[in-house]
Amino acid sequence: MTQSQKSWTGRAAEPWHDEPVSPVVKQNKARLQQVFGSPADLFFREVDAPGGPMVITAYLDGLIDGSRLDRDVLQTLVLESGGPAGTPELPAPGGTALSTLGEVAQQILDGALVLFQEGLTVARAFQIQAYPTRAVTEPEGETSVRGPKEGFIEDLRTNLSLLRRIVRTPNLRLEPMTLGTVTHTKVVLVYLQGLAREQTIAEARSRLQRIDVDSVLDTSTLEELIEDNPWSPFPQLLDTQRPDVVAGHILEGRFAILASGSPTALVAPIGFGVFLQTSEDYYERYWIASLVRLLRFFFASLSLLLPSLYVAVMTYHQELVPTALAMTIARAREGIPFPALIEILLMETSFEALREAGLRLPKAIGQAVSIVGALVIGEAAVRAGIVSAPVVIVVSTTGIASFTMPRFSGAITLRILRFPLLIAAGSLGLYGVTIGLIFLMIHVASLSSFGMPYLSPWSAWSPQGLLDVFLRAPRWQQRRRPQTARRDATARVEYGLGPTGRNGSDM
Amino acid sequence: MNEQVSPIQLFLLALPVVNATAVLFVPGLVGTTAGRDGWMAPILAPVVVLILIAIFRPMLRRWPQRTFIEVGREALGPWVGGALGILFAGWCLHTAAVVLREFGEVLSSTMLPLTPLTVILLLQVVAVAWISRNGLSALGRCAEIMIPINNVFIVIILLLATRDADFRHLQPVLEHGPGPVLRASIIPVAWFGELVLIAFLWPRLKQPRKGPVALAYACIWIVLVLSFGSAMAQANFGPVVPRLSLPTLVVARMISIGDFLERIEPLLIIVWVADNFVKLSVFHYVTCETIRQSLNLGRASVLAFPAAALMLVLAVAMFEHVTQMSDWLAHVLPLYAPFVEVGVPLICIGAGLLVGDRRSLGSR
Repeated sequence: MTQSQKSWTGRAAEPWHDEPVSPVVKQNKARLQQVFGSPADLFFREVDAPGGPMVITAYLDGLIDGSRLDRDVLQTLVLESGGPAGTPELPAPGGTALSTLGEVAQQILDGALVLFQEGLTVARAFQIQAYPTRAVTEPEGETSVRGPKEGFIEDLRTNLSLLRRIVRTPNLRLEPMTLGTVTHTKVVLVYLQGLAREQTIAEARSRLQRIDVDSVLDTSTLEELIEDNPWSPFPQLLDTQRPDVVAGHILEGRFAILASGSPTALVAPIGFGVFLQTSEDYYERYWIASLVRLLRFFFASLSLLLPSLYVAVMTYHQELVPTALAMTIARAREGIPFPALIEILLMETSFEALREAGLRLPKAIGQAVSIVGALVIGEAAVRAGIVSAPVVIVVSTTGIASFTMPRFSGAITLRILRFPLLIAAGSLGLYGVTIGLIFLMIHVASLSSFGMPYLSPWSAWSPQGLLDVFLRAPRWQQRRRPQTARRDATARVEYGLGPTGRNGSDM
Repeated sequence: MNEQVSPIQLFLLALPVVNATAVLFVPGLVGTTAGRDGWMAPILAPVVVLILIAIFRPMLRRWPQRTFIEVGREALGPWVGGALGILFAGWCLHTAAVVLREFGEVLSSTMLPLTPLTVILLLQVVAVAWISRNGLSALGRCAEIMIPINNVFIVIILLLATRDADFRHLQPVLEHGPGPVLRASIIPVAWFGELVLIAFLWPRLKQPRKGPVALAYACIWIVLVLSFGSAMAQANFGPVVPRLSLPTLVVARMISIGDFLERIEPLLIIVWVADNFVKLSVFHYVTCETIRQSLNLGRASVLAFPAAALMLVLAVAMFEHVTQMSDWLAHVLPLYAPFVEVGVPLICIGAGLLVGDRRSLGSR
């Protein structure tokens, strides 16, 4: 069988796709074997009991539950086929009627058991899927001390059930669609009816339906295809592996996108502030949560600015440094062969290389790399007088600062933007840094995530919206949902619900 | 007009239109004219804003969604109305170029003496053109992040300067009567007149009638900052003020808190760069919008980069040196700026009101 380039992309239906199911079961079997190319895992089981019509089941081994195949399917077929000629009823969910080979093939690939019966032009699919899945564990990148420890896995059904168990309302909408012309990946758009804005959901839906790619291997593929500004270094959808985070966001009127095979859900519309929040913030007491958030904001700005500020100040504005400190730094820099910019660039680059090297190595070797790296860079380079100690301090502080950012995708952005700012600082001092920041601000202010301004919690300037950005106000203070929710659904907590001595018990 | 701003954004856009440059220049100028009573001069200056509000209010009531350029073009016809619009746009661009040049001069004299002026200005101009092309909403959001930080920063710097302040320098109050103060209050009027740009943006508000209120609040804050700045300069330096070209900057340089925060005038310059960015963006945006409306063009965004290029060339080529610029600012600008700032809106709106009923302007 020759397959043209075009049919390989799966965009044009292949010729067998619309072929009707034949009343002769053997012929169906032959055709399927042809279509699939007689693979190792396509199994057929013929039941030809006397007195009844001939029945053939087809399934992919490894996608279905073997014990149910024995108990529910074969036993029933063998026992009941002696009875009156009719369609056998199997004690299994499904029973969808399929009339073309295309549908049959798709159902088999989805892990259904397809049943052909002699004399009938419809086949039926029964859902007895069972396949290996990972256990539901706490996601490594988003751990929390307090609060639920469930995380998404690669199986879409499990993920949806995790969500269903948190948000128990029929208004939780799970809109299915199949994307990827070759992979046929199941994608689900999750939102709360009545809370999410209709135009946002419609926009998300149309952007998803517009997607025409061969494969969706992870939700990150979708992210790149539905972003508002595909060239921006800023992520415009939040990626999370925690069902409670998704639940929290859809309860504020946002939507989530899940895909089979991906443990990461996408959430939008979001602002950049989301990348500085963790689920832990909402489980810890609000004092510590608020203080930690302020700390994160401070260190996030350090991770963006500290190296360039050091370069700008040391190169152009030494007068800004307090006299004693300036003396100390000058002493440390004495005899260093490079200007501050080159020093910082050297150290930053080697730090990034070190981080990259340690990332994918087995743990034992990874430690060796970081020890060697720390020794070589931190100790030997300073001793040898190639870089100054303050630069090592600046670079390592920046590194730590970028690790305080709870969301990797947001931290990466600041990590990247650090370098252009460094160049600007080296060439124009604080003016360069300021202009760099202004350019950054222009970009961010013009950016939007599904129609919501990317700066929305700040630029809304509503006190209620800001209660959950720099601080995490107590629940009874957060009386309104953010702008993402529908305008008629903003009320979240009634006024005066804060626990006081008056409205509790008599104690 | 789908590009909208909120009253708070408009308030924040109005602050740098005056303060970006006035904070640096006004304390010295009023100190020269009114001596130790200079801090009172900014209080009287917003009178010009009251005049502007008086001119614009009838239009706001009649055609809340339209700018005075559109009203004027409709009432006076495309030739006369368009010419007035182009005159206004020209003033806008011209003033922006002057502001840009001032900005460059201050920056190169304080921070980057060896960097060519054109390089300094080019970066700022590209930023301005970019945000203006992205639209008013984006500019409003930028202002919302930057301007509060900037203003808090300026106030903190001025407060830190109280260490060396000696408020006896401000006494006796009104030693020479109100005359010098009144004369000095003419100086900030030039800056407050530029708020006509904010009045131009009123139709872009979600509720245009909140425009005058936002502008009034902005004036109050501007007056507070300018008065405080002038008073701090006077209290810190007393009779020396007239000899300092940028007293606020020197105030920042004098700050020394616990041997840790010292000589922080580069930080003030940073704030000032950001303030100037917003101010120039407002000017640039209004320039492009005015040209679009005067000539009845489709989109203003195509004008962004050409207008910015013109602004840069004007800024670099208009004056040969600072002295020439100061002379021009003192003798030429006062002659034509008020006519355009107040005159063009007055003619356009007046004509609109006179012709309005006859041609049923409001129907569209």
